[in-house]
Amino acid sequence: MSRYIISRLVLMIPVVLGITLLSFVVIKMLPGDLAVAIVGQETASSNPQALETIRAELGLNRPLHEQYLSWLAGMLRGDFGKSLALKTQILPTILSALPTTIELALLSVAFGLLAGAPIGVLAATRGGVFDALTRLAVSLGVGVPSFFIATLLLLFIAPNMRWIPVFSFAPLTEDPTRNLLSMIFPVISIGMGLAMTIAENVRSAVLDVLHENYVTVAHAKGLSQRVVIGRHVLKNAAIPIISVLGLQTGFLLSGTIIIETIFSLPGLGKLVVTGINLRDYPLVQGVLLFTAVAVVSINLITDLLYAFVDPRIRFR
Amino acid sequence: MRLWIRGFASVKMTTLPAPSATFTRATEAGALQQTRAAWRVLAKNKLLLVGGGMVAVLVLLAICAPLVVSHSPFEIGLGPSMAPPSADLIMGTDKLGRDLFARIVYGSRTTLLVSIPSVALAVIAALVLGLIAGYVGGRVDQTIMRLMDIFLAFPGLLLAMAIVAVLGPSIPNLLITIAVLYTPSMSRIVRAPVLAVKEKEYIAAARVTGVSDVRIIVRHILPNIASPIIVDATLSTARAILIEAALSYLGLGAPPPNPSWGEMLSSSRQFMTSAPWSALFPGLAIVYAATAFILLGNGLRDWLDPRRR
Amino acid sequence: MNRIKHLYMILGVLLVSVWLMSACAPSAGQTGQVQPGPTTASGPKRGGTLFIGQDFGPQHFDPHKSTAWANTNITESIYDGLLQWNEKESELIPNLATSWTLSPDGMVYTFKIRPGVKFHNGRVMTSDDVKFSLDRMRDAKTGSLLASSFSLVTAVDVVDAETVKVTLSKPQATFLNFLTEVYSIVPKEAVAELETKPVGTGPFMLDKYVLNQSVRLVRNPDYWDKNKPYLAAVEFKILGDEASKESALRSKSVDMAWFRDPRQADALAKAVPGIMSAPGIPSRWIGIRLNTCQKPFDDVRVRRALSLATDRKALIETVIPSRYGGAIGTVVAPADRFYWKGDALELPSYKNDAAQAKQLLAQAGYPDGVTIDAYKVVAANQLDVDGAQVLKEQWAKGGIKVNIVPMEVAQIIDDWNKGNGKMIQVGGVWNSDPDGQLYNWFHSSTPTAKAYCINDPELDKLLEQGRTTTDIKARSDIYQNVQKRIADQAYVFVLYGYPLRWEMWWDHVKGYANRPSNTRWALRYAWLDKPGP
Repeated sequence: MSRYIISRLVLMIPVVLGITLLSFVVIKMLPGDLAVAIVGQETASSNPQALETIRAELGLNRPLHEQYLSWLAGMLRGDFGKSLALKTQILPTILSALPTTIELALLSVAFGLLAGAPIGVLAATRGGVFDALTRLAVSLGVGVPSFFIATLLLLFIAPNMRWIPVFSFAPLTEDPTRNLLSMIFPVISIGMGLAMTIAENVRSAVLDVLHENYVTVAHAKGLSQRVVIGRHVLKNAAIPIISVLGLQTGFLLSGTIIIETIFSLPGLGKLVVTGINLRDYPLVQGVLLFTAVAVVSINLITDLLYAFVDPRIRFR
Repeated sequence: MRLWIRGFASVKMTTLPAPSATFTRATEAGALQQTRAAWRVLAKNKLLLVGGGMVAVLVLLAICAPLVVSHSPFEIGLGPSMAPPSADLIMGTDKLGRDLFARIVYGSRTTLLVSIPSVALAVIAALVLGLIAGYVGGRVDQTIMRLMDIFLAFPGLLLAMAIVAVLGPSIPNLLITIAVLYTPSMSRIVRAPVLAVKEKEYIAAARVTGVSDVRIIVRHILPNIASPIIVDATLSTARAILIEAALSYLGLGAPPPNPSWGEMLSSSRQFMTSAPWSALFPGLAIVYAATAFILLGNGLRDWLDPRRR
Repeated sequence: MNRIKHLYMILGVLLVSVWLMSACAPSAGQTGQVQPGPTTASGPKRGGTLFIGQDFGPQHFDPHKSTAWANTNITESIYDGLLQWNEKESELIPNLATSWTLSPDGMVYTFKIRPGVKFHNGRVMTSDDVKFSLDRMRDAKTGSLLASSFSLVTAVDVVDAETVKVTLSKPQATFLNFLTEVYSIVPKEAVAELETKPVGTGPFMLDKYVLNQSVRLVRNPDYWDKNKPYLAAVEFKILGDEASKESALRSKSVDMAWFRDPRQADALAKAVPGIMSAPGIPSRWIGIRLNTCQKPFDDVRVRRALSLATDRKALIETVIPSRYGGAIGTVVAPADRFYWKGDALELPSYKNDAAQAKQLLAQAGYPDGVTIDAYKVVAANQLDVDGAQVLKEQWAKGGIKVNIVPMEVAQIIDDWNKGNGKMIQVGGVWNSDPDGQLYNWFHSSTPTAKAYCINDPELDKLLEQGRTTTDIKARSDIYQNVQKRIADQAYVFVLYGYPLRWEMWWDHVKGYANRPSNTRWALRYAWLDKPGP
């Protein structure tokens, strides 16, 4: 087991390195640079000299491999560097944005589980019309883009529910009530698709387990449906749920990019968008490195949890 | 133990064991009987019927667009800016006074022209990569799959934005971008069953008797991975529709004046309180198209997967 | 079952650690509570926080190192320049300088500095700070974007503690314009950290900046203009797109916000009583640069044909109707005092005439019309893209086919500067004087003019005169001729001008006024007529 973990960790290194290289290439491939953002769109067209001044000052004229290697060298010393545009240290900037995103992701997962799992169980056990309706709802739920849900909430629900604050976010530590209330709409926007995905997975997992011999035996023993489901079925259905959650991490991170932007939440998604808008490559790379390590580690953790819940799974 | 994960999550499988026996059964048993059974299931499979019907309507609409609309989607000033729905302009007008209904109907062409070929391209690329990785194995496998990991851990929308920005927004470039986006996850789906089938005794036997690799792949491996690929391709089409919408929402879609749902949604979002229909109709069009393919995909899975009967 | 318990434990530990992380996350700055000043019996009320909805936050707070609006609309409340514009921005009035004189040869300016002005760090500003700031801006080592404005300055000398003398190498009509707002006076001891810890003399001081969330400014109690500002604090909330700003304004999460599309602003003002809508001032214009080095636009007849094929009136009525501030464009913004005095449609080739356009094309050797494969526009500016689609239809009637290519803004600006492409559309903005922009684009000595093969001695002469003539009336005549010449040659194809920003606020915000340059300078005069929080 420990050998397996070590080899997985070693394999992470090239992946993470590759991600930093990819993010550097991507941000450099995006046309335009920080200089225009600093000068301003409307004035840049009449001030080409200013653009050159800024590029020289920020080292944006250096050869590309030099820019990447000097960033990487800093990184290896544990120095995330300074943001080119914001002039702040990148690591503290990321750390201050992190709690908002983690909170949003965890609450969305919780919403997804609480809403999705019961629907899945009901669909599998009731069957018939309810099942068909659920499956229709599930497909619909996955097909609605989160930005569309967010827009609908913002324009039709928010004005009628004034007690839910929008655009006046406060950190959890400063004002927990306001913080949690202002998470409601973003969590619904992200969590809806997640809930439907979970419902679908729970449904099929439960269906599978229901046909297993030991469940038939349990029924034969005269145990009630409720007990059978609670004791035997759900336990086994936990496995696919764990994998779904692990596999959804990347999806969640993409989701937070759009939702944090729409609801103006100061998290990692908004931070990376700011970095991209400003073409601030050290900032973007810092955030992406952070999230990449998170995604890869969460995948590892789910695999371990997986083995933990079901010892029949052997590591290859 | 069945580990075939459904829904959106299915593409991000990492180290799950292959859905081994599940998909091999269908092709190995009596073919005729299977086909009959399959047709019976098809008749009972409501998801497949609804999804297939919805997709068919969408495709028909795209093909027969000129017959459905009464105005050109490009004609400016047909009515006042942001006019509400009326008898002549049944969905109202956009900012430039164009017929919104015509633009939505023609928008289905943009959507289908981008999403279906891009997924087809991704399937081809994934087949090549996944088959090589799974069949050759070893170092080659490791290299390919780690490369795919890198792409998978990278926010997809961001990658798409970068590629479109570099290539320039046009329909062929959008197509390439979305294909690049879906190749890594699909090659995982190809690889897993390849690994499983490769270990089977009859494959080893075929190898020993000198059957060529190409023949083994075509005769024994491809049929076994067809079902998950078809299902995933259908679901990916839905995702491609959403990505296309998101990209044109961000101004990186098909260039104007080409009608595109995402662009219509984003450009009327700011008028949503005064002219809600202008954003609702394109939004609903996106939801309809994506849902159609998801229903079709889920229906196909029920149909192709013997366990679901 | 045991394993499930373990699972819950792991989840629990994760949750707690996240909570701990958020508790330990560094929070920037401190929340200072500012005592509002005493309320006067009549007239402006004091105190309260004004909330403003923004689409972007500032990058940093060094006024010399950014000209982006996202920065300047905040730094202009933190710093002051020697001079300021009056309310209509037609005349310069004293700010940190109380008076100034110009030597008879027009080359030496002498400024009297306002005594007793304090920086936010408590130190009194002197003429040394003025010299330091002017030198900092013009020193190439600073990397200031404002350096080019001071290219004619040869020396800045301190005469005494309250007098500064600036010497130029030749007369410069626009010199005084470069002493306002962003050309700020900063204290020497604070410049090392100015980007994150701004210190100025302005009406407000930075209290707290939370990235991607808010910028909070508090009242400067030592502001030299004793009664001002009235507000206890101003908080800029960073909200993102237009729909979010509208939503926040409607729900009174913010008291003020600006919008890009006047139609949205207009609909909002009509729908919600109590929201004030400042009639925008047409300060932005849209122009297409035609590449005069390449076929077919090397031929002036083709350029004129394009201009004739354009129905400017219809374009404006579709994209930005005149009741929302749309106006016929020339190379000078409609808000500028030097904008074309007469009916702009009388400028050469400005009247729509598709038949004549076709005739000119035929004369130039294109009887079947021309096709331009890339008409580049900024993808992010919705109004620009709208206009491009209308133009595409109009030009097709005159025999000119174009393909619209929406592009990222920074790339399009590079293309514009380097002459990379046949038709490149960007927006320009009113910036206190037309000289800088026009000279940079059309004078044959500049890189941009060279990139477009523009060598027009008549235009050169006009631009040089405009730069050195100090009499306003004479300058106005010169720029009338510049506009006519450029319209006739159609180097840049200017379509329309419109309000860049349409500011809206709730009616409890008093004393605020929109300014032609779209600055938020008037925040220092604003006050809130509602019970303070």
